[in-house]
Amino acid sequence: MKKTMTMLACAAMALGLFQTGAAQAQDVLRLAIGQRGNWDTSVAELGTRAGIFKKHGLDLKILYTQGGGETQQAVISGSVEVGVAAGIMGVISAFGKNAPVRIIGAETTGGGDLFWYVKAESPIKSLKDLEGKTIAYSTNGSSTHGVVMAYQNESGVKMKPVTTGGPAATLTQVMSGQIDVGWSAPPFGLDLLDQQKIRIIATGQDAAAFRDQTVRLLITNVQTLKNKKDQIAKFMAAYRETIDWMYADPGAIKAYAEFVGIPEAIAQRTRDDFFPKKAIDPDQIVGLEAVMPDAVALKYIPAPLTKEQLAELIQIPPRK
Amino acid sequence: MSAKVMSFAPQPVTETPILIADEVVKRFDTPEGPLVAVDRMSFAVREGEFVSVIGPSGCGKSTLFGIVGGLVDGYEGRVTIEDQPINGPHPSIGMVFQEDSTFPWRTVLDNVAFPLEVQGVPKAERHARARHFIAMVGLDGFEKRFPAELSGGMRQRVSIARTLAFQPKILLMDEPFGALDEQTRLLLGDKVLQIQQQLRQTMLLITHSITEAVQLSDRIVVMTYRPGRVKRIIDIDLPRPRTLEVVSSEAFGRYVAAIWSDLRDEASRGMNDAEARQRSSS
Amino acid sequence: MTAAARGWRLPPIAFGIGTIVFAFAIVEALIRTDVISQYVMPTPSEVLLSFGRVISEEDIPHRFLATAGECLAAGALMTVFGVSLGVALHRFHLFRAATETWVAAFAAAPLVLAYPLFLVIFGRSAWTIIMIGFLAGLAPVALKTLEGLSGVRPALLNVGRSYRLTPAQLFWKVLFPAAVPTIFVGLRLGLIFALINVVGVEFLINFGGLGQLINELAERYDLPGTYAAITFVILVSVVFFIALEGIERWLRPAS
Repeated sequence: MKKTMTMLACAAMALGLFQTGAAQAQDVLRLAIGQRGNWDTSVAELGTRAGIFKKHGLDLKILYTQGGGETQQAVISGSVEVGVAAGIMGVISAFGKNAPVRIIGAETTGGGDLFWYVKAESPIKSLKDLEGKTIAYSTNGSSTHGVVMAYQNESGVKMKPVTTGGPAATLTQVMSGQIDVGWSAPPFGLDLLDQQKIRIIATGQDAAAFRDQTVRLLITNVQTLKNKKDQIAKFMAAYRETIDWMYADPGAIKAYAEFVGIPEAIAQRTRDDFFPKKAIDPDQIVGLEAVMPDAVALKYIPAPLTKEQLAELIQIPPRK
Repeated sequence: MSAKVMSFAPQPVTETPILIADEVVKRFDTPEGPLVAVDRMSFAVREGEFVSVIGPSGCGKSTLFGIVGGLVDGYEGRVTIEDQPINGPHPSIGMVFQEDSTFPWRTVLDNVAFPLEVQGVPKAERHARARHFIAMVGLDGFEKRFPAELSGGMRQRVSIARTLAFQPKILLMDEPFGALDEQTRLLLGDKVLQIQQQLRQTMLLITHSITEAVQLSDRIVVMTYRPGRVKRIIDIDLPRPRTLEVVSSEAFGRYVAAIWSDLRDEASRGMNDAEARQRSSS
Repeated sequence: MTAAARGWRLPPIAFGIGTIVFAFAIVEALIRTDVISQYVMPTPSEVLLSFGRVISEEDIPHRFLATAGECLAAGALMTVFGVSLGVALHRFHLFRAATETWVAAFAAAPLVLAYPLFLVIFGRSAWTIIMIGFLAGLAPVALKTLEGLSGVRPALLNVGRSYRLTPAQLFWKVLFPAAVPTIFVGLRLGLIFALINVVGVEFLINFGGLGQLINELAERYDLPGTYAAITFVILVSVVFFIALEGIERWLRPAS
C-alpha cells in the first residue's frame, strides 16, 4: 500500500511538472482593454475563446478598464504589455510628452460604430434640427468628441456639446430629458432601438472628417517592444487571424453574444450594421494629419508631430 | 458694581429646622430582587447649621443626596424644605457634586455666573456677584481662566462658588473633596468652614471621611450599612469659630474615635458584603 | 535656556514647511533616478513649474470657487440635517433603536455609484454634485452628534437639572456645548466624505470645477498639470478645515 501511494505521488508530481513545462511554452501577455463588450474591443476575448491566441503560443491576461486614459496609463506604467482601444488624441499627447508608448496597430477606423439618438417622441429628425440643442459626447478628446465637433463644423449648425460619460449615463440623461441627443456604441442601446423607444439621427459616418480616420489604437510600451518583440508579433498575427474568423465563422457571433450576454440577433446586427471588417483592420492607420490641428487646439500637443516622430510612434509588426 | 445693594450678610442662626427628612424610604428594583437603599431615615437640619451624613461605602448616602436634592424620586416618606415638599430640584437647594461639574467651555467667571444667567440677571450684575464669590473661595485673579487650566481642588472651589452665587437656603454637597488628596481636602475643608461661618450658610454634607465630618460639622448623622438607617446623631461641641488647628485637639480625636467605633462594624459588614459579591460573580 | 537649546526650538510652521520640502526633495530624487517612473508621476519641480500655466490657462479661480462652493453647500446641508438627525436620535430612543444601525450602514455605502440616479433627479447641474456630497457626509455628522450628546458627563446634566433648567435651556446651555468637540469631529469627517464625493462626481460626470479639470488634464496626459490641479483640491480642504477650526474655537474657546 505504501509503495502504491509513493508511486502515485511521484506520478502526480511528474504530471505537475509536465503541465508547468507545457504552460511555460505559452507566453503571457497582459492586456488592458477599455469599454468591455463592444465588438471592436472583443477581439482578444473572442480569439482566446476560439483558441487562436493559444495556437500562436500566447496566454492573454485581460484587464478591462473604464476607457482610453486608463488603458494608456496602464501601458505607460508597464502594468500591462498591450493596450486596446486607446484614444488617438491621448496617445499623441503622451508620445508628444516623451511617454514610452508606441502604436502597434489600429483598433477602430471611422466613426461607424458610434450613433447619436433621440427619444422616439422627440421632434428632432436630423442634425439640421440641432440648432441650440444639447448633444452628448463622452469626454474631451474622445472619438465621440471629435465626431460632434465635426458635425458642428460640417453642418454649420450651432449645437451645445455636453460631456455625458459612457453610454449608460448618457442614456439616463436622454431619457430623463436633460440632454436632447445622446450617443451610444452597439450593442448598447440596440434593444431600445428595436423597441422603438429611441431613434438614430446620425452615426459617426455622417461626419466626413471621421469616415477615414483611425480613432482608437493598439498600443504598447517601448520596453515591451524591445524585450518582447516576438510576442508582440505573435499577438498581432493572432489578432489578425481572429478578425478574419470573426467575419467568417457564425461561431464568432455566438461566442460574442455569450460573452456580452445579449441575444445572437443583436450580436449579429452589431457586427453587420455597425462594423464593416475594414473598420477594425489593424494594419491601416489613417487620417493622422487631419487630427493634428484638433490635438493642438485642444492642447493635447503644442505643435503637430513631424513625419519622423510619426515614424517613431507607429511601429506595426508586418504581416507574415 | 451696580447701584443695587447686594446682600451677602450672614443669615441669623435659629432653632427652626429648615430641612426635615421624615421616615424616608427608597427601594430599587434589581435583578436580584428589591433593594432597600434607605430605610426610614429621619433627621432635621436647622438654619445656619452644618450637618454631615456619614456612613460606609454603599450605605445609601448618595441616594439620600439625590432625594434631598430632588434628583431622585419615587421614594416614601417626606422631605421638606421650609415646609415645602421636595419633588424635584428646589430653588432653595444648591448642590455641589463629587465629580468635577464645572463647564469646560466657560471661564471661571462665566461658570460661577451660570445660575444667575439662568435666572435672567443682567450681565454686569451677575459678573459683579460672581466676582464676589470667586474672591470668597480664594480664586480672584483666575476669572478669565478655563477649568482645564485649573487643578482639581480649584475646580471644586469654582463649583462651590457657583452654588454660593445661587444663594440657596441650603447648600447640599456630595463628597465634594472625595477626589482630592488628604492635604488639599483639609485646606479646602477649612476654606468651606470659613465661608460657612462667615455667611452662616446652612450646609448638608454627605461624606465618608470621619475627620472631615468632625472638622466641619455641628452635628453628624451616622448611617448604618445597607439598608441605610440613622444609627446615631452626634452633636459636635467643638468651639466656633473653628480653624484648621482644631484637627490637632484632643476633643477632635475623641469625636473621631467615637464615630469610628460606631462605624467600624458597619464598614466591616460593607466590606464583607462586597467580597461575597465578588466571589459569587467570579 | 542655553543658546544651543534656543537654536533647536524651530517654530512649528517652519518645521512643517521644512518637512514638506524635504519630502518633495526625496520624491524628486526618486523620480530622477527612475526608482519611480516619471510617466506615472511627474517630479515635484515640474508640478511646481506647471502652476503658472494651469492657473492662467485653465480658469483655476472659477473652478476653485465652483468646487469650494459645492463643498460649502454640501457642508451646510450636512451640518443642519446631520446635527438635527443626531439630536433626534438622542432625544427619541425608539427612533434611535430603529434606525441607528441603518444610519451607520449608510455611512459605509458607496453613494457615488448611484450618481446616474442623482442625475435623473437633480439634472446635470451642481445640485447633483452637492446632493451626493451632502448625503455622503450626513451619516458621520449624525452619528458623531449622537455620540457627543450621549457622552455628556452626568455631573454636568445634574448641575443643569439642579438649577431647574427647562429642556431647551438644558440642551442649549449644557448638552450642546458639551457635545461640540465631538460634533466637530463629525463635521470634519463629514467634510472629508463630502469633498471626496464632490470632486469624484465632478470627475465622473465631467461637470463643475476642479474634478472636471483633473479629468481633462489626465485625458490630455498633462501629468504635472493634473497634480497641480489636485493641489488645488487639497487647498479647498485646507481652507475648510481652517474655517471649521475657527468656528469651533469661537463656539468652544477652551477647546
